[in-house]
Amino acid sequence: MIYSFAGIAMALVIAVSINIVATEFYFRADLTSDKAFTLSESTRKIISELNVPVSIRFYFSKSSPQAPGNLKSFASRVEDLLEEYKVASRGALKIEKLDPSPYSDAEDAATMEGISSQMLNSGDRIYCGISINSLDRYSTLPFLAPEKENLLEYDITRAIWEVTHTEKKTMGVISALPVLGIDKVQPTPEMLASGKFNPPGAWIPFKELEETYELKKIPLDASQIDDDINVLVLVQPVGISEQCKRAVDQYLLRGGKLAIMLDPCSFYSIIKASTEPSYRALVSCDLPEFFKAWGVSYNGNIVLADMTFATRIQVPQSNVTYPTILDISSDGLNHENTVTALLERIGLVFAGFFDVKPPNGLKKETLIHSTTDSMPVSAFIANRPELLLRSFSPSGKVFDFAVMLRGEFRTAFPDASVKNGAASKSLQRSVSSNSMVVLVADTDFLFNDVCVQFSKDQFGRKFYLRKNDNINFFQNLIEYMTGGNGMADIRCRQTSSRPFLRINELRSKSEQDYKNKILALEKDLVETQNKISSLQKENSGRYSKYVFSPEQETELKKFQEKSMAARKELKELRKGLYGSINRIENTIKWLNILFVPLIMVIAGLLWAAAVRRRSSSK
Amino acid sequence: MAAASIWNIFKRELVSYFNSPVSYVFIVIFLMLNGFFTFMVGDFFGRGVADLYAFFQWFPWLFLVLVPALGMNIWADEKRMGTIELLFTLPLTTLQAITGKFLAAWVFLIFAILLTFPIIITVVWLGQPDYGPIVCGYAGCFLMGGAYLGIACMTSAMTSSQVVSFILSEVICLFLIFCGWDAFTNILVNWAPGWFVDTMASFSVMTHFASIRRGVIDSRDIIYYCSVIGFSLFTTAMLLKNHRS
Repeated sequence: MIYSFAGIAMALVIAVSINIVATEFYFRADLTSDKAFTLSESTRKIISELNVPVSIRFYFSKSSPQAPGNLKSFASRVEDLLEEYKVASRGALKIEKLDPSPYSDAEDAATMEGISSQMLNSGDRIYCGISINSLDRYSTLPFLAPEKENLLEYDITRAIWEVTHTEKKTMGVISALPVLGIDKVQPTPEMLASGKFNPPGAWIPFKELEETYELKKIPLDASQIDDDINVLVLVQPVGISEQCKRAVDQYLLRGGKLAIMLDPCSFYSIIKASTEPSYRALVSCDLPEFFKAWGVSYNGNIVLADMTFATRIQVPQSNVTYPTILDISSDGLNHENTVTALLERIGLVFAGFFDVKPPNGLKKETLIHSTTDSMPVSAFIANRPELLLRSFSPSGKVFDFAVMLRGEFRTAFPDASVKNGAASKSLQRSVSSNSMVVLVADTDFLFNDVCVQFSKDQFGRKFYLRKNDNINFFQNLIEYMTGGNGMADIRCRQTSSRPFLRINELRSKSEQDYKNKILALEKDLVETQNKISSLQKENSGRYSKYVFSPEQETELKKFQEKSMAARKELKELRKGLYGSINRIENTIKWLNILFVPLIMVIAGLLWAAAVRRRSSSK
Repeated sequence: MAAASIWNIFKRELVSYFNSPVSYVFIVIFLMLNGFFTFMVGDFFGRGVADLYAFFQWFPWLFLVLVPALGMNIWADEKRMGTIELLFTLPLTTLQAITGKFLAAWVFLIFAILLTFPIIITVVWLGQPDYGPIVCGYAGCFLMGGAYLGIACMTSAMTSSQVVSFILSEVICLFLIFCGWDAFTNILVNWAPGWFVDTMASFSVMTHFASIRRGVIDSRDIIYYCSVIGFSLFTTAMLLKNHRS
């Protein structure tokens, strides 16, 4: 007996030790199709380079019974993700999970750290946020939205990066458009009168960059571009002064990075011009000196129409195809270049194109291009789809919307030294191989309405979802040009939700029928109501308001019958709406529960009968 | 030679399972309970997601109730009916006998689990599920079932009474579930240090099952289940050696 007890105890110790050892040396295979439990390469790289301790606190009201189901399952996925971070960091990251139940210490901590709560209908507050800190630097994700789950890894990694890197790269912005928002706005009398004085903020692509970069607004008449500008972005720089152009030129030749977005037809300016005529001058832009030096052909009055990438917009009664509002798919993107490698969809509005014949020493790489089913058209008819469609014929050529130029640049102002007389220090050609120029023939792709969709979440808070990869393109570009933190691949992760497609199809079809019938019924009721009121008006003289004439009596009766019938019909419709769905669900339920058991019972009985027969025949 | 003896025992046991009416009752109850919990309690349709989350979450509890019943007979019967001495006169070692019997029970359990295939068809018809978590979920079920079965084998070797074996294995399996269950660990957290609670949680069947169920094959989870099975079978051998001598 003793022998066996000792043996069992030994076996237990061995089993436990094996498990402990296994925790140190393990391997995993992520079999999910979205690789949802594997951190991307960039995150791993950033985390493995951590040399300071980082602490992550996840606040979630786990114990609150009122927390919505989808939030709870989302929170458990967040915990899984944080677990991955911890494992990948090998000790540098500390993860804490806290439950800010009412009046707890955790709740006080959450409030102090800036984690916001949402009030439910029941009056309870629930928390679902993350706070990250390293030494004395803090970053908070106040409330995680399940709708933006696919960007969660990016938000967390970016916050970790922010608290561990003190130096932000600087991005200079020169623009005639208010891309960085309007700081000092003079309210017009109309604005004051309407009571809505809301100076618009920065455009969303820029706003998002504010967290990782230092954004510096450079005036259109600047005389010098400082060396601390890591990347210079020009957006529709109409009215840029001569000396500013020279400053930009010198900046480039010193080894600077230049991103120029200009538009032959700025949709934003066209819209704004209706209320502020000063915007009319901003509709089109050109930079001839630079383009000449770089071998770029560009016409500020020509827009490209592409039938393959055209968007179909639904207006009442019909669908209109806009060949100049482009929804560029993967086919138009260069997957060899880091900036566009992982992008799938770009939206451009009234874009122009570049024809680049680079001089010696410069190399061009196309980032975004059209199909051969395209044709250059005048910017005047960009907004007139019917004219465009009538005169369209494919050119058979591919046009470049966005290009990257690298190599040895020559100055766009070769006369500078001559003009100055005294020994001028201005450069004639680039002195560094770092010089880089990216040209994009559109500015509207950065505009809020073109790149995001605003929506309200289940708590009524406004949030936005990316409609396409425009923001990702812009951010990848800036990151690439500043030799950044390599977060391009995390940025483009998608998590798919997997709904019951068949049931959703049924439901939307039924709802469509239901909606149409409701509209018809309501119209009917409204007509009857109108008839009654018109009758009342007729009789206002002869009878008092509360005594009805015989005609009115009959109409009233008809109305009451009609409304009762309508209500009944609506009830029937509603039952029918969900009826077919309920039927399917019930069938599936009972099939699953009873089908195989029934077969087993039958099989068992058959087998028993066979055995009995065999034994009785013996 | 060794493999042949294991195979013989295995075949004999497996056939006896299919000849016994109790097995059919077991399968029918298992499947019906499964369906009931998935659709009624688990709110399969209410979730609106084409995955088998609502289906897999009940397995630890279903197995807790049913697998000890499957395993209680394995050795307790032989002991009670006295056929165990007969068994050991055959030219095979204790370990081979144990392995053969265990494998037969495990294969039968796997067969019962696979009979839940209508749910797979359902979810594929309704939407576009991710197959990774489904395959992993089933793998997790096989492993977890094997672990429970191993424990049931072990307890049935301790006694000749089926009832005692059943209760013992229930208690042990319950302990293995509880040490990783949220409600339990939250109480523990109050008076035990963090590392202790974490270690306890790592003993649990639930944490490892949840980990596999996500769609990730982790060597730690596989090693956990294999070590539970290994330890149980080894202990069974120790207990039965007394019988031999």
